[in-house]
Parts: sequence; C-alpha cells; structure tokens
Amino acid sequence: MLQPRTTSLLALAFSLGLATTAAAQPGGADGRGRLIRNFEASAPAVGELMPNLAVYDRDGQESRLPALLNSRFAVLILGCLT
Amino acid sequence: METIERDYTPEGVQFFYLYKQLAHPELDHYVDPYTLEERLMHVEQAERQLGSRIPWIADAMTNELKHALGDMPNSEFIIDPDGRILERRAWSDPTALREDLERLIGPVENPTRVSDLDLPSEPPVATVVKGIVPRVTPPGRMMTLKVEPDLDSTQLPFYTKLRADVDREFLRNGEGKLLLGFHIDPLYHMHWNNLAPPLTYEVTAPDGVGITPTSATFAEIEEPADADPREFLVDISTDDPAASFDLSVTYYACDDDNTFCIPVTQSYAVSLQVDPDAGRVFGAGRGGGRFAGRGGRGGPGAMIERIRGWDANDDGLVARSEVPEQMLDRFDRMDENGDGVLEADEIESLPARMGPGAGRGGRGMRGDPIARLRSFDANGDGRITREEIPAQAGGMFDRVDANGDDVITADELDAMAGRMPGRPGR
Repeated sequence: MLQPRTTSLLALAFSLGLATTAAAQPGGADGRGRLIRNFEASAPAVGELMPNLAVYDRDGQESRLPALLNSRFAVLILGCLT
Repeated sequence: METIERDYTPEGVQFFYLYKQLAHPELDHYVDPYTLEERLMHVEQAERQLGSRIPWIADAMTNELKHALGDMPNSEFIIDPDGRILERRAWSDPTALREDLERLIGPVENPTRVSDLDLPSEPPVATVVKGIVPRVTPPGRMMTLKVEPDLDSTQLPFYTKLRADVDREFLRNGEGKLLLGFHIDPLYHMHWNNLAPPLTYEVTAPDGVGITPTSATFAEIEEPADADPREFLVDISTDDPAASFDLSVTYYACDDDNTFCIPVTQSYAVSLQVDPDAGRVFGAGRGGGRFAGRGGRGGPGAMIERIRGWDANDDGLVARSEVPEQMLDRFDRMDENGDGVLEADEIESLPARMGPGAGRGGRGMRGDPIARLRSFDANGDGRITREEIPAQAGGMFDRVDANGDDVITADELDAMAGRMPGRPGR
C-alpha cells in the first residue's frame, strides 16, 4: 500500500501521465464531439494528398496507398468486423 | 455502400474498405489481432460476413493509416486521380456519398436499389456455448492498457488474447482495480476444455508496481466446455505511470474439432499507459445490460450487442445512417417511435419485438434461417409475404414457400423446421 504523501504527489503525475491519455479512448467524457474535433483537426484536408503509407492486400502484399489508388477516382471507407 | 459500388465502378471509380483495429472488441466475440497475419484473417472473415464486392485492404498493425486519416472508426474519403482528397467525412454516409459522386462523376440512369442486391453474407464465427461463466462486473468505467504480446515466447498463435483494463481510480491516483481478461480468439475455433487444468496467470512486476494477487488460477467449471472469457479483478498500485509489468499465462488450447488440446504458456508486457487504439467494449463498466452473458452467440444479448455495434459514433443511439445497408429495410420496424434513431430502450426491446424466434437459442437470428424468416413478419399476422423480406433472403423464401404462392404460412415454416437437421420444430 502506498503512503498518503506519495499518493497525493502521484495524483499530479497521473493527471499528466495516465489520465490525459484516458480521454483518447472512444466513449470518453466528450464522446462524439471530441472524436469529430480530432478528425477535423488531424485528417488530411480537402485538397491535400492522401498519406503515402503502407497498406496490405488480403494476401499480405504491401503497397503504398497512393500507388494502389492508381490514378483513378477512389472511395476509401474505414471499417472492421465490429 | 454496395449499391453505390454497383453504380459507380462501371464509371471508373474504385472502392476500398480499409481494415483497421476493432472499434468494439468482444462484439460477436471478436478480439483484436496481434499480428498482420491475424488481421488478414479478420479481413477474410469480413469478406465472408459482409459479402461485399468491395475489396478490403489492411492498415499496418501500428494503425498508422487510421491515425493519419483522423482516427475515426468509420470515416470515408473521396480521392481524385491525383491522389488528393475531394471529400472527407468523419462517419461514412452512403446517402451523402452518392450525392457527392453524382456531383463529381454524374448521376447514373437506373440507380441500384438495396433490394436488387443479393449479398452472400455469412453470420459471425460461431463459438461453443457462452454464458456459462459469469462476467466480472468492473467497479466502473474501465480503460484499456497497452498490451504487447511476446510473439517470440511461443511458436503457437495466441489462441487467447489478454485485455487489461484499469479503473479511473487507478488513472487518477495510482491505486485501483485491474481487470485481466483472457478472451478466446474465435477465428481459431477454440474453446476451454474444462476437464483440463484451468487457466493460470502469473505477474512479474518491477519495484513500484503492486499487483495483488500476483498469480491465480481460474475456478473449476462444471460444464465440460465453454468459450467465456477468463477474468480476474485484482488490485493494482504504482508510483510510476510509465512502468510496465510482465505477465505469463498458461492454459490448455483445445480446438473445436477436437484434434488437439495442448498446454500453452505465453507472455505479455503490459504498459500502464492507456491504449488509444483499444476500442470500446459494450457493457464494460455499466453492468453489462439486461441480457449480458446470456444465450451464447445467437441469444438476445448477442442480437442487442450487434445492433449496438452499429453505433459508429458512440453516442448511444443508432441512426439510420449507421445501419448496415443490408439491414436498412428493417430499420423502420426497429425504430418503434419513428424518430429516425434507435434509442437504448428500442434496442433492448428488439428481441421481443422482432418475432418469436429472434435471438432465441444457440444459433440466433442470423444463424437460424427459420428464426430469421419469422422475424420478417412485419405485421405480425403469422404469414410472411415476399414483400416483407429483403432480397438476399429470397433463396430461403423459395425453399420454404412449398406451394409457391409467395406467402409463407406457419405450416410451411414448421415443415421446413422439421426438415432441418438437428433443429426441433417450433
């Protein structure tokens, strides 16, 4: 068991360390608004290039996203099983 | 989305689904993969479940692309031939997407309707019976810690996967509760063989991290087999928010085909940092809901979980725009008060409202074609007309409609039920 003095000092450390990251999980205190604000601030804006990052096809073959798009109009939707 | 793909692929538009980490782990019992190979297993399962023609691509295991695209679970982007973004949307919205493509590419002459589709979709992976072992009720809302499996510690897959959650007290003060949950990965088709020794974990924590107890063995279960998580609620304290601890777990890995049942020991490093990519488990920290832990994969709880899973924006409501396209034709029946969204009480009452077979028994509505057909009886008159069913159920309708009059009667349903192997009549 931690001593009371240590515990009080830890409160600040945790507010800066662990607790701030807690808001990063979905369903946090600010829920939908926070997610939307984060998206608007961090997703590439209209007119910007899609990021040049790796993606994998169903066989595990790696390619870069821009190369996959192949100079055609494309629609990309994020998803998963749940 | 499928109708849009049908209409705009011939116009030269490419469509991709990007598979990233699970938005709602445990829904349909899925758990996040540990390796790219496992993520690709998820992709294959998503292909089977959705029956879509749209190809899936997978994000890296670091979720780099999801992060770079704004970290939303179900966003969508329209990209021009130069690779620049023409439209972006935080939540995928097929109606708005079609309007965008009509403006950018041009309208199509005869737009495809949902009823024109015949998607060969499959139900989620079945597991052996669940609901045998009661779930642990956490002390409040829990946050998930970063877990790093030691992939070099074993040549075998991680048939069970650890989820380590802590309560808010721990995050605030460094003292609280830790919920260690060991979840069977349904993609490996495994179960707990309760005739074998139960799962045991052991923690090795550095100075400054206290976990009590440091080791434990799960209780003996009378049922010979089940697939419920093995959960331990333990005390945790630390004076170092950046610390981590090691955990090893030993269990018997037993496949559903009974071809092997072997002892496995695997290891993890658990960081005390919250994992922002861990997704949100439904029911965690809120008592699990009325149907929690009941009825296995196909029970009413599973039905409710699945519908809650459509709540892409986590606001507790399921809007029409969040409903999978193949289920849209049933939305109006689900939306009892007709306000365009499914509230919590409407979702909870769905098993009772959507027909006597809905969600009953081990196979559930999606897995039990007879129960599924009964659920289409919109007016509750005990007869199902062709107009009441979605197009993709047409094949089943034809098999049950013995006299071909486009109406399925209770007698025809009973007759089909009797013909199905292993399924009792009504």
